[in-house]
Amino acid sequence: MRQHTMLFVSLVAGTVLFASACSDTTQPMPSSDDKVGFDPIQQPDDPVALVRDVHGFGGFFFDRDGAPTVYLRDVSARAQVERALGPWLASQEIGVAALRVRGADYDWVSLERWQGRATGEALAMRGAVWVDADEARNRVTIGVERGTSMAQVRSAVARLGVPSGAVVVEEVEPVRFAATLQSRVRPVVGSLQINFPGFLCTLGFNATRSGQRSFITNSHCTNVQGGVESTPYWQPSQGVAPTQIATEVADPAYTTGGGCPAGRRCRRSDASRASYASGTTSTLGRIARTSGANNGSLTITGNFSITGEGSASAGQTVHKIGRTTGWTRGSVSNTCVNVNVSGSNISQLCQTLVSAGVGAGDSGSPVFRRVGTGSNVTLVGILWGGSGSSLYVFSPISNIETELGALTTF
Amino acid sequence: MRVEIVVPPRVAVGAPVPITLRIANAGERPIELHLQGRTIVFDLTVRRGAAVVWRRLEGESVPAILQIRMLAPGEVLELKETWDQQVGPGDYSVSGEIPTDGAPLRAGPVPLTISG
Repeated sequence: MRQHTMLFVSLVAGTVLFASACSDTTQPMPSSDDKVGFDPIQQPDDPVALVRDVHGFGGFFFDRDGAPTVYLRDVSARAQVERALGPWLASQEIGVAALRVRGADYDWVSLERWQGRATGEALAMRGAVWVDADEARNRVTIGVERGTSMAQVRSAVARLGVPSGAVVVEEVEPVRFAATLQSRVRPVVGSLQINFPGFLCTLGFNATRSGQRSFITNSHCTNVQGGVESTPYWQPSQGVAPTQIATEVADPAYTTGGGCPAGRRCRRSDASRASYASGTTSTLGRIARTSGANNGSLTITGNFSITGEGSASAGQTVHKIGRTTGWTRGSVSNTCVNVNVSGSNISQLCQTLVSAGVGAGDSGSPVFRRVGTGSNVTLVGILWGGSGSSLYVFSPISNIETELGALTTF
Repeated sequence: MRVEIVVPPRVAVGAPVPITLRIANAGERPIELHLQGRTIVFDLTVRRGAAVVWRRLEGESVPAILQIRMLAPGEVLELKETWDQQVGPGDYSVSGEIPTDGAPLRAGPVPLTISG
């Protein structure tokens, strides 16, 4: 696959993106207004450009043994190829004797012409990923997502006059942009950056309550901690994506008395609920997953799936994923701890402490236990603060539902 | 951007020590700061030699929210604290740290003499 065919992939990424947004896929997909295009300019050191004028040339590539290999319709044209490619091969410290020749069914000019013809038709189809003049197979290859009708793609291309034998349709993984937890991602899932006026936090998890599509984040990630002021939210920020995604609808007041220390205001969770705007897609039970625990990466590589809710005991390993420090893993050090919030008269009752990384902006991060080594997780709460950079505090899910009411989280 | 810590060079034993952390935009363009907390979080550390004798945020649980704060050209943001010290006379150093969503902003150490 050469330079210009890769550019088609950019185009396809946009196409896949559109299809995903419409189908409310569970895979988080960043949106982008990136311009896409087709640039046929060849690199000066492109070996295909050097040899394309040889009559019957059908493709150049390095085979599985690493040997330079050329497709020729007439294998006796090898000498011409050696002359055309010799200097380039020498620059790669490869002798022309290493060149292997395979019989071609199609010439390169035709493959490129058919690729161009097929591109308009195939890439317009839902599930199409790429169209390539494939120099390693001497065919036009069309990659499609799983579930796409290959027969439909083949017949569409045949209608354009491309010989059926010259086309390979195969199932491939969709091409995705490298989104991060701080990117615009739709459908919205847990662990993404959210913004309300003047502040950034992390979205904990999606939840349904009384039929209302919602997300849970910290109470202190609202305009006023405790009490509902219809805080507006954007994702990742109002500057990047100016359409409001949600509005705060639940955030119980902090109260005095009972088990609350004198002079303090208390709750058992630092949690609030925001209802999604009708135009914002979200996926219940999904948490954005980055490349690994404790590696600092914010790049989204997939999802975790919430398959249950539970608690975390002292000594158990738990995980959190937040917009600042990404995925961190550590063990529970203390459970049901009453914690004074620094710089305020607020106390959070019966919270859990974890020895793991945390940073400014991680407020709201979902905290979970992994079920085995796969992508299933048990939701145990949301993070709200830290003491230093290696100990965080979270509100258990049971406390959250005691205060916000029963939630459907998966 | 300039970050500095301001401490009186000498105080008497038992006297409170005013400490100020300053973030100044010395440039010609506004700066967007990402700072921790609804009330901006900052840490101060006083050392005698290598030993820490006081840390402002020691054992504190701080909300992990990120505040977006624009600093106009020429604007100075001041964060103030008073250390109610009860330490013996001697030479100390004071440093400050302001958490962000990247590397923290740091200032100091600056010397502080506590005299008997």
